[in-house]
Amino acid sequence: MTHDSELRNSSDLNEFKIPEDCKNGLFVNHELYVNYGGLDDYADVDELGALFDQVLSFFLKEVCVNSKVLRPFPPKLGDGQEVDLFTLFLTIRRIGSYELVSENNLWEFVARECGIKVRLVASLKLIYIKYLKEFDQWLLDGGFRDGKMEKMETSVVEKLDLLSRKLGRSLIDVEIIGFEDCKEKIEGTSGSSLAQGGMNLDFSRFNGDDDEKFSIGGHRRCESSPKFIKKVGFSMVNDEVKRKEVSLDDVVMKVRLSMTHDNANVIKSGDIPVIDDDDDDDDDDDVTITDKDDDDDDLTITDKEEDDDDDDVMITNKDDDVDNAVSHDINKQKRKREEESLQLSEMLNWVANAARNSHDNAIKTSQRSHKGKNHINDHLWKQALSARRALFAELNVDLGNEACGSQKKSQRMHPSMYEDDRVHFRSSRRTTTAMPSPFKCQQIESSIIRTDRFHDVIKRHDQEYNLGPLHQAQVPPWKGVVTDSDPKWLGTQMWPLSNDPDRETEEGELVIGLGRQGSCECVFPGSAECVRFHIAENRLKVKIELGPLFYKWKFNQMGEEISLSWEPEEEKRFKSIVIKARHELAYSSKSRREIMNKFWRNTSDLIPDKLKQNVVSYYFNVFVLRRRSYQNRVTPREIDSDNDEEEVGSVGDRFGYEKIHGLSLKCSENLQCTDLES
Amino acid sequence: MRSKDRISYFYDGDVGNVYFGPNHPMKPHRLCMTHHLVLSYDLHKKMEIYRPHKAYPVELAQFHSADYVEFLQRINPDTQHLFPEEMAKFKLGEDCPVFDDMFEFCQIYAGGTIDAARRLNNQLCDIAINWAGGLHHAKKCEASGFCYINDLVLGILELLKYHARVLYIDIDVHHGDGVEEAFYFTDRVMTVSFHKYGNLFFPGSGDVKEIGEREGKFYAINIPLKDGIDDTSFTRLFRTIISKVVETYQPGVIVLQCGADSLAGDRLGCFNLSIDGHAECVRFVKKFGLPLLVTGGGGYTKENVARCWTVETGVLLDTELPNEIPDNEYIKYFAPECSLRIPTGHIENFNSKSYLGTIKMQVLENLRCIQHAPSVQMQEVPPDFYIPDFDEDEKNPDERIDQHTQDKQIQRDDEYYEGDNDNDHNMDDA
Repeated sequence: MTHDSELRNSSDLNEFKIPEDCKNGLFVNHELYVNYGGLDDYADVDELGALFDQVLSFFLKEVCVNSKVLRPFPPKLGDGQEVDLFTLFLTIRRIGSYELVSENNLWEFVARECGIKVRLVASLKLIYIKYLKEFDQWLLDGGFRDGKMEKMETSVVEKLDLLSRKLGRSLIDVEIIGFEDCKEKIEGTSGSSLAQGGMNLDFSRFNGDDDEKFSIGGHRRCESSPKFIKKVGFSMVNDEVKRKEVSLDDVVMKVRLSMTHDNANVIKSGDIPVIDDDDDDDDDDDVTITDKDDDDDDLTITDKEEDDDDDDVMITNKDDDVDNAVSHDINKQKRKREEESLQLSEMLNWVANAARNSHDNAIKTSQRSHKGKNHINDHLWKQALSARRALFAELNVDLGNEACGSQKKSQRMHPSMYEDDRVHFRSSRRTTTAMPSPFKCQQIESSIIRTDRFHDVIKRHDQEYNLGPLHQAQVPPWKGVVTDSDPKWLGTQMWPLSNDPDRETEEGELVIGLGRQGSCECVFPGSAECVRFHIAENRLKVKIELGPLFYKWKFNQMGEEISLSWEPEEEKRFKSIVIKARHELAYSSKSRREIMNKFWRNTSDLIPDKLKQNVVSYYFNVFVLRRRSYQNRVTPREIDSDNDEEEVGSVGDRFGYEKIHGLSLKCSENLQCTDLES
Repeated sequence: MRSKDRISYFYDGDVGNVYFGPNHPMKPHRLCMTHHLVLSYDLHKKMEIYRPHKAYPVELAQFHSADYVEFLQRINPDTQHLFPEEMAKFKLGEDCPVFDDMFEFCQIYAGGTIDAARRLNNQLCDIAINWAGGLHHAKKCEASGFCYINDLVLGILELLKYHARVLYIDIDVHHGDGVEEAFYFTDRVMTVSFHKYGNLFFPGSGDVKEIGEREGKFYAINIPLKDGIDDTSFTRLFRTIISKVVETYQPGVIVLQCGADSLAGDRLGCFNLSIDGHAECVRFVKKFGLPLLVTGGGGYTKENVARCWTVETGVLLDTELPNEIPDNEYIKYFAPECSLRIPTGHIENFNSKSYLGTIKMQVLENLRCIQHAPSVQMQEVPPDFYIPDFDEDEKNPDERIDQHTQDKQIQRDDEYYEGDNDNDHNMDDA
C-alpha cells in the first residue's frame, strides 16, 4: 500500500510545522488560523493568553463546581507535553462548541492546531472537559458578573470582561459569517480579514520563509454557508493567493476545501488529482489554486514546480482497494480540505484494510499492534465510527440495492473468516440476558454502515454481468424430445436393505419420527449414566437395524466412542497440537496455509497411527464434543461448537473420560455389542 | 395432499470426515450430524437411501470448463504452491482452500445431485434429497464461496433433458449467483433467489434489477433482503412470489436449495428465520406436487443445520417431528435443551413493510412481462401445476388480491405427476 503510506507520511508531517515539510508538497498551514483568527489584533494574543490563564485558574479554584479537585496547572499530556489551554479553548470556540467538535469529528484537527500529536486526542478531549468545558459555559453565561467575582481583583475583572467580549465577539463573528451568505469577498490584508471574521485561513505557506506576505490587492474570498457552519463548524475556502516574494523552492498549494456533511467526500478522498503547474516562468509565481468550476475534483492541489524539482508532489492513487471502493466520480461539488482528506483517506484505507484483513483488526483490538500503527488505528477507528454514525441516518433508507459489479470479484464469502470477534458476537447474540459488549455491536454495526456508504457512493458500473461462453452453461433448446439421461448412474441403493422382505407390509403402519421418550426405567433418569445408557441403547438399535450399513455410513466413527481407539497419549498430543495451531492462528504472522500444513504435518508426525480422516473424525466426534459438553454445563449461554480457534477453559476436558474408558456397566455393555455385531 | 411420495435420499459416509481446514466455517461434518439425526428420528424407514456415484470429470465438465475440472482433480495441499497462477485463476485459496480429498468431496456431492436428477427424470421417485449438494456459488471456471463444483447447475442440466422448464428456488442467505449466472441467458431455467443483499454481503450480486438477459430476460428473479428478516415476512413473501412464479412459469420440475445459513444464529448469516419458517418454504414448495430436487447449501452453525435439514426431511415425508431429540451420539451438540427448536435471533428486522412491498411489486411486475411475452413454449405445455391452499392469515391488502386470484384456481389433488409426463409425451409426438 504505497499510496497509503505516502498519504500517512504526508499527513504525519503536517503535524510538525517545520519548513522541510513543504518539500513534501502537501502542506497546510493552520497556524495563522489558530493564532490570529478571530481576534482583533494578534499583537494581543500573548496578553490575552496570559489573561486567559489567569482567569481560568481563578475559575478553577473558586467558581468551578468541582473546585476541590486538584488540577495541575498547566495540564500535561501523557507524553509530558504541556497543553496550551488558551489555544485549545480558542480553537474549540471557533469551531463552535465541544459538541460540535465531537459531532464532526474534528478533534484531530483541534489537536493539530494545538500542536499535539494525534494519538493524544483522547487526552486532549479529557483535558478540555476537565478544565475548559465548564469555563466555556460560564463565560457564555456571563457567570463572571455574579457575586463571586468580588474576590477578584478589579483589574482582573476588567480583563476578564475584555476577554469575554473579545471571545464573544469572535464567536459571534463566526456565526455571522456562517449565516451570512456563501460568498463574501474580503479585500485587504490578511490581518484585516482575520479581524473581520476569523474564518479566513491562510493556506499558503512559503517554504523556509516565515514572513509570509500577501499582496494587498490580492483578494481572498471566504466562502461558507450556514450548513457548513452548522454541520461541520467551519468551512474554509481560499481562492486566490498572490504573493510577492517567493524563494525558489517554494511550494504553493491551494486547497479548496469544504467540509460538507456528505459522506461522499470521505470516499472520494482517495481520489486526489494533482495538477502540476509548470507554465509559470517568472519568479513571481502567480498560482491559481482553486478551480471553482471543477466540481469533480474534491481536492485540487496545485503544485508549482519551479527550478527545483524537489517540489514534486506525488499523490497517486494506486491502491486497488481504495480504487475499487472509491471508484470514480459521483457526488459532485464535494471539495475537501486537504488535511481532512488525508485523514479521511487514511481512515478509509484503514477501514478497507480492516475489512479485508479483519484478523488483524481483531488482533488490534486485543492490544496487539497493528504493524506498529496502533495509535493511528485507534483514532482511525474512532473516526470510522463517527463517520458511520453520521452516515447512518442518511443512508439506511436505501441500503445498497445497487449492484456493484466491480466488487463481486474481490469479495469473500466469509470476510471475517478468521476473526474471533464476529464469532463471539454471534454467540453473545444468542444469549438472552447477557449484554453484548458495545464494541461488538459497534463492529457489526459499523460493518453495516461503512459498506452502506460504499454502496451509495461508489460509482456503479452498469451491471457487468459475467456473460459469455466462459460463464454460462450450454443449454440446448427444448426440442420436446427427451434426450437420454444415463440410467446407469442413479446411485446405489443402500436402504432399504434389499433383503428386507417385511418392508412393504411394514411401511403402512410404520410410525416414524418419534422423539425422545419421556420416561425411562433408569435408577436416576436424566443422569449422565442414564443418558449414556440410552445413547448406547439407540446405537445398538441402529446398528442392528442397519447391519452392514452401520459401517458404510461410518456410524462406527460417530460419537465419543471413537476415542476408544485412541491411546490417552495420542489424545493428549492431539490436544496440544490443536492448542498450538490455534495460538499460531491468533498470534503469529504466518500464513494460514503454513500453519495448517504444519498442523497436519504435526498430527501425522506425532500421531503416526492415525490417518488424517481419523484425526478429523476424532476432532469432531470427541474433541469438539467434549468442549461442547463443557460449554453445555459451564457456559450454556455462550455455546459455540463451530469456532475452531476458541479457547475454552477446558479444551480437551477429561470429564467423562472414565465413563468411556472405565469399566462401568454401560460401557462394557456397549463394547459387547460391538463384539456381537462384528 | 398426496401422502405417498417416493423419496430418494442421498448420502455418502465419506463426506463426514472432510475437513476444509482449521476454523473454516464450512464443515462437512454437519452432513454426518444431519444423517445421524435423520436416522435417530427413524426417518430412513420411509424413504430410500442411495449412495451417489462419484461424478466423473466428464460429467462435471458438462458445465465446468475442462481445464478447471482437470486442475481440481490434479491439485492437492502439497502441490498447490507450485501453481500460483492457476490457483489465482480458478480463485482457489482463502475461501476455497485446497484440502485433502477435495476432488473426491466434489465428486460425491455433485454425483448426489446428478443422481437425484436422474432418478427424478426416470420417475423413480417424486422427491430427491441431497443435503450434501447445493453449492450454488461455483462458477463455470472458478471456485467461489466454499463451492468448487456447482452441482445444482449439473443437476438442472440433467433435468433439462426431460423437462422443458426447470424452476430453481434458493433460500440460502447468500445469492445463488453461480446458478443464476449459468442460466442467465435461457428461459428454460428460471432462477429465484431470496437472499441478503447490500453492505457488500457476499457475493455482492442479486439486485432485484438483475433479471436475466436475451432469451433469459425476466427468467432470473432476485429478492434482495436486508438483515434480520423474520418468519412472518419471509414466508409471506416467499409464498406470494413462488406461487406467482409457478403459476406463470409452469415448471416441469423444481429444484430447491435449502441453505440453512438463513436461520437465526448462523455463523455467517444475518437472517432471523426459525427452523419452522425455513421448513415452511419447503412445505410450500412440496405442495405444488411437482417433482422436487432438494439440496442443502450453506449453513455454518452445525447443530442448527442438522436440526433444520432433519425437520425438512420430515416435512418432505409429511412427518411432524417432536421437539425432543432422541438420545444419540451427538446429543451433546444439541444440549442443553436437546430440542429441535433453535434460539430466536436478536437481529433487528431491517426489512420494512414498504421495502418488502416494493420488492414484491417489482418482482411481480417482471413476472407479468413473461405472461405478456408471446412464447411458443408457454402455449405448447398446458398448465401442470396447482396452487396449494393458502393460510388465511394474509393481512396485507395487496396480497389479498393475489389470494383472490389464487382462490380461482382449482385445486387438483390427483394425477399430478402423470399429467406432467403426459405433457412430455405430447411434446414428443409433436
